[in-house]
Amino acid sequence: MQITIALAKGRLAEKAMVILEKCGIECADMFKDSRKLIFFDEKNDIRFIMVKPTDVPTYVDHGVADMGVVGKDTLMEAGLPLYEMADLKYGKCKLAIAGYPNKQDNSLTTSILRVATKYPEVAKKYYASKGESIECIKLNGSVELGPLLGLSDVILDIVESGRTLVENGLEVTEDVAEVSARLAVNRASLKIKASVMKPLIEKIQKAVEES
Amino acid sequence: MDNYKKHVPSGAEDCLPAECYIKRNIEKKLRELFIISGYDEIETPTYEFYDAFQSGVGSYMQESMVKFVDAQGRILVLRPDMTVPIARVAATKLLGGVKQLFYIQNSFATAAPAFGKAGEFTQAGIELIGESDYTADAEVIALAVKSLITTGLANFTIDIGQVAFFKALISELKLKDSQIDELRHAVDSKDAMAIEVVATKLKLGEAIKQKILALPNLFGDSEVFDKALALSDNAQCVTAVENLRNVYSLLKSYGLQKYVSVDFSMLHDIAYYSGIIFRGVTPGIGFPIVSGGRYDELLSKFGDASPATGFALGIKRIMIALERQELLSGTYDTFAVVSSERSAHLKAFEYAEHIRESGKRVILYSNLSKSELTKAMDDTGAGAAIYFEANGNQVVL
Repeated sequence: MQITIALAKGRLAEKAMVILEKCGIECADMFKDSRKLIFFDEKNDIRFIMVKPTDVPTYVDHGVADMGVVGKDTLMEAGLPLYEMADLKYGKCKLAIAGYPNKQDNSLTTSILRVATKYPEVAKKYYASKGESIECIKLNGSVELGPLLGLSDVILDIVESGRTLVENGLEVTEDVAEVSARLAVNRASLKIKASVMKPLIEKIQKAVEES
Repeated sequence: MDNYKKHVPSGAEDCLPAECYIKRNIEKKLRELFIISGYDEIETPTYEFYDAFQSGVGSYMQESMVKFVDAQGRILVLRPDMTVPIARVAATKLLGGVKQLFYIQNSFATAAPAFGKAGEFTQAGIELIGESDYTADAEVIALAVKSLITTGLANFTIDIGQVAFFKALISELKLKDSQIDELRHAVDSKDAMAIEVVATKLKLGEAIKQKILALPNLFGDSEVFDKALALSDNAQCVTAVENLRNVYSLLKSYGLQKYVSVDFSMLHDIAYYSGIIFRGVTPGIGFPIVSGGRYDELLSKFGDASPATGFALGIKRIMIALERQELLSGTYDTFAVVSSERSAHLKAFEYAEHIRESGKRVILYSNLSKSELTKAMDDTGAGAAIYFEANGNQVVL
């Protein structure tokens, strides 16, 4: 029974393969030809598809991929009903709110916090859980410019070392969530292909624990 | 405004003839199955008062219901599912005794349009009201299996869970509804990390945390029952496990073992479920094609304490799965296509009507040439092409 695994193109895929290789999965072709989007591990009857990171949850949700490896931040933003069956413990960082440390909210014309972010869904949910209303400003990159140029009061973004924030005079004010690479599994596939999926997932869980 | 006239709103869909034939065919087979299984068909209004679906009753997402306002300023919704309306009818108009009801109707959602998730979707389902015994749960699941087989699917799994086990397991923690919901979501996603996070946030003890962490892997066959029993000696937990074990072994005795499996971490989104729940999946589609379960407390929200269980099939999803498994086929059985020269039209009409009297399908075309009629026969898959010439001669092409 063939299974399909969706991987995020680039560095994340390489790291995922390190773990998968420990589980006996091989796919030497993967890093030779960067234009191909589909690869096979004939021996284990596994098909790999290379997709944009933000699309991994979509492929898995629709069941065209049985499982996928993707960051928790992307999963949170997608908000889809997937099984999240292993923390692969790499790509560690956090989602956090950052802003000017000492800036007082002195705006007379708006009492609503303006949040610039690549993760509007995460931002809405986070502030809703705190009972705060926000105005969400969706950006696709260089989010730090938001407070700098007065576009927003704060940003919600991925923070790894925090250097970009410091260089732009910003500071983390609240942590939102811990992020790392996760194994997302399609709900139907887990049950229909249980004989293949269950042992593989257990191997992956074990490989992560051992490393 | 002119820009929209050729389009339908997002989430809305036309069902074109080829698809409609197959859809009606599936609905017809299901209707026959439900009727011979002892169920009575029921229709409820397309729109109802918002109050019926408010949180605490159905706990639907407020934002996923299509709402509008009536002349008195009251809020109405297009029904988001069929279980709550039927519970309302049963608890207010069909009091007493056992009721077996079925429906084939459309429900509505504001859901962002996506494949297999339209804003208007047909559900076929049954509700068995007034039976609380585990034999009723098994019977309903058996009917769900039979329904899927009836639609043409052969390869599918029905996952069975038990909400009462989870509810009993965490009952001693005295959590608030919103906290239970957070925990339920983490368990339902089989997300160990999220369970850890929620457990820390709620300051749960190590012992109970480990029990909850065990749930995501409690799925498979009969071997999971003892593992579940090992988690708690709480009387309600034991009852819940034994109840599921009874249902499972009964389904095995029915000979349905290959279609069912058990999963203790499956905890549906809808809060009205109270006991055995189930969800059917099949290759080719990542969404459940059938979902259902026991909802013993729902009717009491409408003033009647009857227990109940049931399920709903998503017709469109089943059709998508059938198509992807290359099992989707069929079209109208046409006996003949008929045409004539204009002067012989009456002959052709009388001939068509004569055949139709015997219940056979005949397509009558105005003034086709013989070659056009032959083509029509090929296009429709009709069994014959009959042509009437100007002098009234009947020609079989």
